[in-house]
Amino acid sequence: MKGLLIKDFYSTLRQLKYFILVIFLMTFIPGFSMLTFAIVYATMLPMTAIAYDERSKWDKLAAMMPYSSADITFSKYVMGGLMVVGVAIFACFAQAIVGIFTRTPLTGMFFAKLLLVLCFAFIIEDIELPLLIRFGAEKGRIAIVLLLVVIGVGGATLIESTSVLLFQAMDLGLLLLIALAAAAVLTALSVLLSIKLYEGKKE
Amino acid sequence: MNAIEVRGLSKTYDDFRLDKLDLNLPEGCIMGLVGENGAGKSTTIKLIMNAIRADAGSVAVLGEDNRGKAFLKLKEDIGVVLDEAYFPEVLNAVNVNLVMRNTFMNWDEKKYYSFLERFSLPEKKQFKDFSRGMKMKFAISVALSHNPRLLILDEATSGLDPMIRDEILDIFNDFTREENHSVLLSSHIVSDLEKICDYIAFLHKGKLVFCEEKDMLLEKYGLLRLSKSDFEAVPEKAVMGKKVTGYGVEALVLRDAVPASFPQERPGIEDIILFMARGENK
Repeated sequence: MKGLLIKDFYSTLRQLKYFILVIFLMTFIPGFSMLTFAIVYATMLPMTAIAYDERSKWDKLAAMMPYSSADITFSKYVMGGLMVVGVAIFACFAQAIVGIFTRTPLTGMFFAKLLLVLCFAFIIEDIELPLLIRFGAEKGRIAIVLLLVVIGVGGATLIESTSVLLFQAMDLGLLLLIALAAAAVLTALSVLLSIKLYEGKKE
Repeated sequence: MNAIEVRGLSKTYDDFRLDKLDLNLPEGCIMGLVGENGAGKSTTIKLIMNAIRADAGSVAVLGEDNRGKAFLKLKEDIGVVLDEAYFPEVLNAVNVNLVMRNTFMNWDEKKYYSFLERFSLPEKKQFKDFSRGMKMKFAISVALSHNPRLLILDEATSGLDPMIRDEILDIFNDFTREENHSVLLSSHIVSDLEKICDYIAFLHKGKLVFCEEKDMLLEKYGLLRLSKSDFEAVPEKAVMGKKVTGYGVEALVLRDAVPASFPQERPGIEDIILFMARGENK
């Protein structure tokens, strides 16, 4: 799997160096919204790696090498995970540096919120990767946008109507615990589903 | 031992069926898999490598069932070159070395760079800027640099100029100097196969027409060129395929089933295949 990761990193870094640079620059902007965007943008990188694989028809060659379907599929999750965690770690340093000048040191709340965003990023990847593997980068991208709109609009409506009080009342620790558990369970299910979908392509 | 053993292998698509394929590639030999476009050569190779699922039949490669768990590890010993190179286009030869070093346990970096040098392939040039000839030579370099015992090549020489093809065929010949090294080479360029193969397997419309030693094939068949009236005296059983023109009849015959009074020419593999495929014999 290490070989697959190296290939994906070379492909994406070569072709998306400015996009990645923008992601890292965004983490320097004070406040949390840009940082959230930066991490969410990082979740798009496995999508790009899949698109490049499709363009070069890499899967045809990979099927001849000692890679299992699990290796090929799981490598995309690992790549996505490393990207979002990498951006999050970099964001800590970036915000700490910015904090020196703005006299706003990093607080426990910052790290809790960052962890929450990370869980959200993992959940996005858990949704997008099976779609990309099933439908390919082109159609999968459309499916992801539609799904994210539905989730976004649906989630916002839900929060505005009923759940806002529940979230306000909920302890942040409990919320984090729920988010971590949801990300872990969804990731496990998503990986299994993606492997099954990839295997299905062998028909 | 056979490097490849295929038994009753079948695969059906909407518009194509590979039908009960049986073939053996003995260890240490080169087998040419020949057939028209769409005959089932690539499907056979994908099935051998377990890249697609067979509907029926079995495949053993280097003594291992290709559906077993051990086959994944065995792929270390199989070098594959497909009809295109399929490496990510932004990678260069140095990057590919790093990828392959972390893919194949047997990866031989020294051998890889010596192949790059032998083929005059640039180390830093991105793959997208390679010509087709360079791409195929690069794919062959990669396939040979993890010390495989079996090489499988799917139309690896198609679209290349004769000089490069010849150079590549020499490499395959060198590869089989080691007695446990074997090659399965699919191509529709019959002259390439005739040059280097020990065995020829002919696939036609998803069916195996024959799989025989090349020298046996050349011994077994003869080529007749006769007038229509003279041809009537040729035993019907001996005729494997014929072509009737305004000038007479050209026919592929079983050499031993035709009286010695008929002058026979030695056919090439291409003649044998064309007459067999034409199916005008009966």
